Amino acid sequence: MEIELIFFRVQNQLFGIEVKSINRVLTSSINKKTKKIHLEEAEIPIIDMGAYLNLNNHKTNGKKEIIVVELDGVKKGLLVDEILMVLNLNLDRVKLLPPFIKNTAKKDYFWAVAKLEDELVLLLDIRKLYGFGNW
Amino acid sequence: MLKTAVRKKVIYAVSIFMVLGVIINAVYTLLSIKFTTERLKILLTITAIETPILIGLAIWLIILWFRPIIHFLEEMEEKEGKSSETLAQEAREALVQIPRRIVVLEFATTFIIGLSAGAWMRAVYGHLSIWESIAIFLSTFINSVNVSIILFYLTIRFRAPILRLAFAAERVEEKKHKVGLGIGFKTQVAVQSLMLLSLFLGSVMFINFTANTLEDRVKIEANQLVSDAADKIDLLIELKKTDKKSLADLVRNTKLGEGGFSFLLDEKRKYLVKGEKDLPLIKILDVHRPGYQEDVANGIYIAHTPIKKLYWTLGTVCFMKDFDAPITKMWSLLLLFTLIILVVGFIYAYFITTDVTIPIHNLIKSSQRIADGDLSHVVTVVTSDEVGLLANISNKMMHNLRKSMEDLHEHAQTRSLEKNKLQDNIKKLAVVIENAAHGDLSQTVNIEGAEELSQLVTAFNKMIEDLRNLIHQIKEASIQISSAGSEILATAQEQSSGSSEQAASVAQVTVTVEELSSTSKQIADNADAVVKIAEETLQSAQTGQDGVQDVIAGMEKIKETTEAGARRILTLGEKSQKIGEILEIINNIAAETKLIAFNAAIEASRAGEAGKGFAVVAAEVKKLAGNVVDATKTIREIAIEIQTLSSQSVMAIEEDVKKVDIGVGLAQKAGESLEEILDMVDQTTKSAKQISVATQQQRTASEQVVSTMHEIAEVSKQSAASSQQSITSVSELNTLAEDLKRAIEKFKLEE
Repeated sequence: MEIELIFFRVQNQLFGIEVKSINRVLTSSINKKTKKIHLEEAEIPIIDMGAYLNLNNHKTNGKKEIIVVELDGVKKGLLVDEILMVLNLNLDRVKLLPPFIKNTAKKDYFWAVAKLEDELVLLLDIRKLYGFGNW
Repeated sequence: MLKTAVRKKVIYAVSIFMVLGVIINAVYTLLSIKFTTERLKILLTITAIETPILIGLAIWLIILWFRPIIHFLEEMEEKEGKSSETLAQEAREALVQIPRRIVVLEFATTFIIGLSAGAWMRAVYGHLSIWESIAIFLSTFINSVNVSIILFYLTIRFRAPILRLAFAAERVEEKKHKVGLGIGFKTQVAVQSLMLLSLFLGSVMFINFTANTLEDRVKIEANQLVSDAADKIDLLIELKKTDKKSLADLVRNTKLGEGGFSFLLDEKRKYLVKGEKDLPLIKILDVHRPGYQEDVANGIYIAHTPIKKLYWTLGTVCFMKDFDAPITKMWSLLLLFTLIILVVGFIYAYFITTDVTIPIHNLIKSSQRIADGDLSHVVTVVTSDEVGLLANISNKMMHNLRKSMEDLHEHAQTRSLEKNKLQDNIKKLAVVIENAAHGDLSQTVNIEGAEELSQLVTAFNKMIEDLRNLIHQIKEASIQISSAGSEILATAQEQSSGSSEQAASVAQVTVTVEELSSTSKQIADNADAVVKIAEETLQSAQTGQDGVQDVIAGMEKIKETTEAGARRILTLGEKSQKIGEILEIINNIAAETKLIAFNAAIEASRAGEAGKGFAVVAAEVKKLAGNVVDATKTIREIAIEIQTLSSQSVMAIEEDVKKVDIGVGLAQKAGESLEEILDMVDQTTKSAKQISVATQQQRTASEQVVSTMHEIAEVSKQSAASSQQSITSVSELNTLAEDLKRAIEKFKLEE
């Protein structure tokens, strides 16, 4: 079994999201204060991933890229610094995070960790962006 | 022997005046200052320092003074009374000059030491009042005067006998100048000084003692007052009536003297009841036991006692000046008495001394007149004492002397008269004969009443008369010849000297004009050379100017070319900037392409198995976009490099253009300078030509002058030769006439 992932950079940190939850990607020169964008005559709220992941000391101006995710027909835009690549990983290179870590963290942003050639990448839990609990 | 005697005297003198000086100094200082232990210590230290300095100085000065005297005395011993004038002179100078210097030096030294001692006391103790300072100054002054006077008298004592010896050595009779002071003045000074000194010292001691006793009594009273008041405050504390008003009333009523006041301090040394003044001494009170503080200089005394129950301190301040009215009175009385005694003593001393000295003085005057040969004088002393007796004896002696002198005189006079008459006649005759022998024939002899000589005289007178007539005739003839010859001679000499002067002047003028002629030829030659050189310079300068014009034109061309190059490079820089802009566009397109590739991958994943091939294509597209981004980065770097290089080149070219401008300016200046040189050379040429023409004319003129001058010289030479001949002949005639005249003039004919 394989899982298809897209990897992106926020500041110097690498994170991943499942491709199946992504609607599309686009570029936009917007800044931190921009809360919404218009896409196909619909308003989509933007989440600044730097602020969301408490990596807030980076510059927000300049060229950014947006990943549009979709869950149950509701779209949300994730503001990231750069989209790097799309990869298919074998499932044995992906491990769920143990409940111990999930409970001790103040917010549980992540659901698993993927192993690339020489580093570990945290995979973002999309459901938490929509206000769901554990699954 | 003499040496040792003098040394002994020196040692005695030094010891006596040192002891006296120290005693007087000590007494005056003790009397003039109120003493505390600190001041006494300072005084003793000063005396210890002062004494060796004074002794050393005195010994040194006196040795210096005695050296020439001892030298003189030794010489006297060796020569057994034969004197040397220079030695006596040296000794006298030493005896007169050096004592004065010693006295002045000793005074100055003592005075300076005393003053510095006073200043020291002031500096160390700090509390000397103005009156105490003045007292120290006065005591130092009096001390110095005393030391000087003692020294002065001592030196006079030594001086007198040796001075007499020195005068005797030179065998000069004693002159009538005074040595030292008169007896009357000496006695007056001695009596006055002793009386005043003893009276003044006694009175000052008494007043000082009285003042100290009075002050002690005031202090005891102040201590008692404070102690009584403290008992009253203790009582108030017992009765618990320690409110401010009753305490203040009690303290205000506790006072001694007119300016005195009291104060009360609490346990923190702050005023519970404040006095009229806030004296600095109050701050250093020992508040734990009864005692006192004292400012001796300003006469302030503070007695204080602790009030033990509450740790308070009660003190009273009293001012000594409130109690010194009797002392002031005593001082003024002392001053008055001193003045009275000074006047009375002076009058008393005056009468006593005049009674003794006036008869002696008269006796001396009379003796002086007798010594001068006036035997008619009578001594007028009418006292009945020893001096009167001496005067009577001297009068009797003089009377006898006068009588015998008068007898002797009368006898001698009658004898000499007869002898003198005969001698006179012979003398007259001898004089006239002697004059005639020397050529004086103007006198005849005239004698009365001497028969032995009358025949001789008559014959002599006749002979003189004949001679007189003969000589008179010869004399007149010779005078006429002589005057005629002299006139001719003078005229010839004038002519001769005139013509020789003329010849000399002509020769000088000729030489000068010839020199002038040769000089002007040289000038003309030099001027020609100048003209030639100036023309050469003119040509060179013109060539130089052409060259400078070429340089300026070349520089202008270089400037234009470099400016064109700079413009081209500037364009290159602008173009490379445009390349950067285009690269930016390419980069944006590459980013878009990358995102499109991602979206394609996402779509492919949605399509599942069918989209797999499409995903591969999307990955390729993404890779290409990445390559494009890398390439644009490289191009951008190159473009930036081109831009910096071109701006550097532009700057360098601008620098070059500036330098070329400076070059052009310099060349233009050189051109202007050459122009000026051309003008100047032209002027030089013209001036030189003018000089050449002028000198040529001058030369011709001076040659004419030379030939004329030669002719004049020839003429004046001939004239000089002829006048020389006539001078020689006239001179011979004149000499003959003079000889004759001289022979006759020996004889004197009339009176």
